[in-house]
Amino acid sequence: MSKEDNILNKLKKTEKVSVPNDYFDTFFSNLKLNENDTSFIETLPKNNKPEVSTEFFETFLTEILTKLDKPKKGKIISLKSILISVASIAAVVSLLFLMTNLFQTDRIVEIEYNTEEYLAFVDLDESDYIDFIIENNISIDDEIEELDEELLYELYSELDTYYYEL
Amino acid sequence: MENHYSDIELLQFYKDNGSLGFQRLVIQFQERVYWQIRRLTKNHQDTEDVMQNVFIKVWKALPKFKGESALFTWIYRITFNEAHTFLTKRNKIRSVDLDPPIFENKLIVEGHSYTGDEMEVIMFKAIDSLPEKQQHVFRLKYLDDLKYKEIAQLLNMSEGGLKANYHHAVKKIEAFIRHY
Repeated sequence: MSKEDNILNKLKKTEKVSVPNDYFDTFFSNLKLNENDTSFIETLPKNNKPEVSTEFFETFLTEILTKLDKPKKGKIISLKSILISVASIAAVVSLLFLMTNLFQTDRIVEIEYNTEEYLAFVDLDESDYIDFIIENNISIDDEIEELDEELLYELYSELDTYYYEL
Repeated sequence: MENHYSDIELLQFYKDNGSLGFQRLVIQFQERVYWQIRRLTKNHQDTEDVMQNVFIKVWKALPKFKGESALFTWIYRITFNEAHTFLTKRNKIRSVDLDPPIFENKLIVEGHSYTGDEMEVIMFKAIDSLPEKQQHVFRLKYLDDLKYKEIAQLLNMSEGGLKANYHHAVKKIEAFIRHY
């Protein structure tokens, strides 16, 4: 490799030939084209361009600058439409609320109580209530139809316990 | 073109004074933009509306212009999009007098007969099939009748390069029309 390098380095090159500065810029324009080589496109007869007044181009700039200088108009928000929308939504929500509440009137257990008895056990807690039933020998069979099964079970368990303890 | 500034000069004007720079930009490009739009809208009234939209968009987007293309090319893209958006939205029933077609009626091309409208449609399709640079060169030279020197200033290209582009564009369009 080094041998080749030495040979190359020893070779002296002559200066590159010069080309006129604008040769390539003007090359195409200097081409002598065949006179018959004219495209049919360039011979197509064209209508005259429509006329435009010179005033148009003189005033166009002023118009554009005026448009760009104009501040943007603020948006006018209609309160009426907002109020109507809010009122509609409120009405729908109220209606839905009313309808759901109407359908929640079931499961009211009507238990007929003797007024005195009712007044008597209204302040009782659960254990007192059971004691009251047992002491007064109240038959709860008539009333048990509407009572919760869990509560029933508890009542009977208490009763059983009471009797077992006797 | 009188008082034609290069893209670099225009952008420098804009940087130094936004409003003044923008004014010079509008003055320099307004006629080119106008004719591009009018070729699509076919009437002055709609052209005026679209032109305003174009330059308002240019004003808003100018701070973000990166200089990856010539200013004219960039503005042309905005023009194209705005014009097409406008045409899509516009009422099809127009009471305005529309411009006549670019070409005269009763054309005979390669043995086929065309009306001016038909040839215009074919020509526009042919132009759309060209690469972007050739499209610009062809439109500016063939449709707007600008000189190569003026086109070179608009597109930041050499005149030699422009002529080559135009020559290629013409050949492609010829072939397109023949095979249409």
